[in-house]
Amino acid sequence: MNDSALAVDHLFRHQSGRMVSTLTRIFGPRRLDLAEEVVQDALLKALELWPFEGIPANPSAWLIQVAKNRALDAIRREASLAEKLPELARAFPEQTMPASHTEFDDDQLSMMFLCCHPSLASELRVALTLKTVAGFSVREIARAFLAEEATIAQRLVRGKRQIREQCIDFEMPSGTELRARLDSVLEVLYLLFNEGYSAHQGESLLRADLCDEAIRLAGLLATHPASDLPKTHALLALLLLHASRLPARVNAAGDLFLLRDQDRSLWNRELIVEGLRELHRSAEGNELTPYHLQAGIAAQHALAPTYDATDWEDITEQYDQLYQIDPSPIVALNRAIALSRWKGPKAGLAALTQIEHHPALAHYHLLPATLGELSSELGMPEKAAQYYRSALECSCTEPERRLLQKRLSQTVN
Amino acid sequence: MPQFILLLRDERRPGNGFSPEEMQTLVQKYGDWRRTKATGGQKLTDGEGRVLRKSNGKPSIIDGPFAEAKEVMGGFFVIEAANFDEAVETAKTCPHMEFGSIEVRQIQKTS
Repeated sequence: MNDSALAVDHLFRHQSGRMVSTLTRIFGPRRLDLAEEVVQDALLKALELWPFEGIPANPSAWLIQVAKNRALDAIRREASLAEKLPELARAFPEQTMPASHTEFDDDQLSMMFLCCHPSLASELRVALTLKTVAGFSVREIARAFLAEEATIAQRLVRGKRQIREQCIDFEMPSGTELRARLDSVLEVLYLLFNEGYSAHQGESLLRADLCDEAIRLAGLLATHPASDLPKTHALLALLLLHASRLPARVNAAGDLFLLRDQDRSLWNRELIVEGLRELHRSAEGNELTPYHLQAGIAAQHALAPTYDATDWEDITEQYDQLYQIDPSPIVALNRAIALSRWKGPKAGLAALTQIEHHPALAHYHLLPATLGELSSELGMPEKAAQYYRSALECSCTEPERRLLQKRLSQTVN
Repeated sequence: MPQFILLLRDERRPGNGFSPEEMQTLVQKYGDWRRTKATGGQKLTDGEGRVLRKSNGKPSIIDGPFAEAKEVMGGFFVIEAANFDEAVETAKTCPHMEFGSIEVRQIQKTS
């Protein structure tokens, strides 16, 4: 394997997630720290040797072998781990390839269910998943979530303590339990993706990694017989369709492009095709989840030749359905935008007056930004400028701020 | 072409703070450098070493250098260069510069 292949595959990160998962199964969730330590040691060993010896022909097998030796050392050190030896020998056989890929995949899925256990506080679930399954460091998680490293570190400690105290098992749930717990896993992947999707200057690469990772893990779920359910495919469709627009969303200078202004030729066709295929798969069964509707809306955008030629009527209807399941002001806001494209800015403004003073939107820049757009379209530039100014008072990312400022100056001139 | 040895002394080791992704990036940096600039190189084992010296006609052997000591030699690379200046320029580009010092010495030809 050459070095560039290593980079494309994020080999260290992915192999870390796989090995931590499998070792956590063997040692037990109570010993998650030990699993992480063993894997970190193996990676450090590679970091020490590979610069001099070059990258081995099969880097995965090399890492697995070293991790196994480290795990054996741990077993020798601690008498209580002796019973783990046969399973370690089985899962990490001598001189082979990553035992079987399916086994590693299964362990990663079980690990996701462990990290996303409903009895863990939700902010702990995301941090645990990123650290253990996705191989992110505390610093990387903190940067991706614009949080303090100490905060993330504390969450991980709390998460591991709760896993120990609540004796959460390492297993893939089945039957009705799976259905209940799958929701929590899907939610974490959805959050992960959204974090990556909201553009923040300077961290764009890392954040694209979050999107990729969410898609990879959702793909694992979608192909496993136990979690191969319509809502899993719906989430995967949603993620793929949104990811297809990423190349057009931010330019090299970090400027943000709204859907209306995006160069649609930059959209990733492969991801669109894959997303539509997943959406098709999600249509089986009779459960309609918010993921289905959001994916349906994203599909309408993906299929539309231009912004104006979009089927806004269908999108408004899908938002109506979404509002039935998830009556949040954000959904109402998005519905009003779609309605304004379908029936005109006046209808949009009328719909917005119903949520204009919703406390949850008090600091949400997209509400005044939308009000500004619609006012501007209706020939009320002063009103529009006023809205853009209040949008600028809300907290938003730097590219969003630049975009709002541009709109404001266009309106004033 | 004259050969030079680059003796790498570690001031600090890339420690546990590195994420898998960062470690991989570092491995790649060293790998790229080694492939394009070096003709050989080896890592030395950590920590243990012996220093031999004759005293009163008998060899005395002491343990060392110790891992705690600053600037332990961690490994070496061999490069080819037209002269010292060129060797130094090449050494400057070595990723090891982030982790410690590099001593450049020319290998004496036998002929």
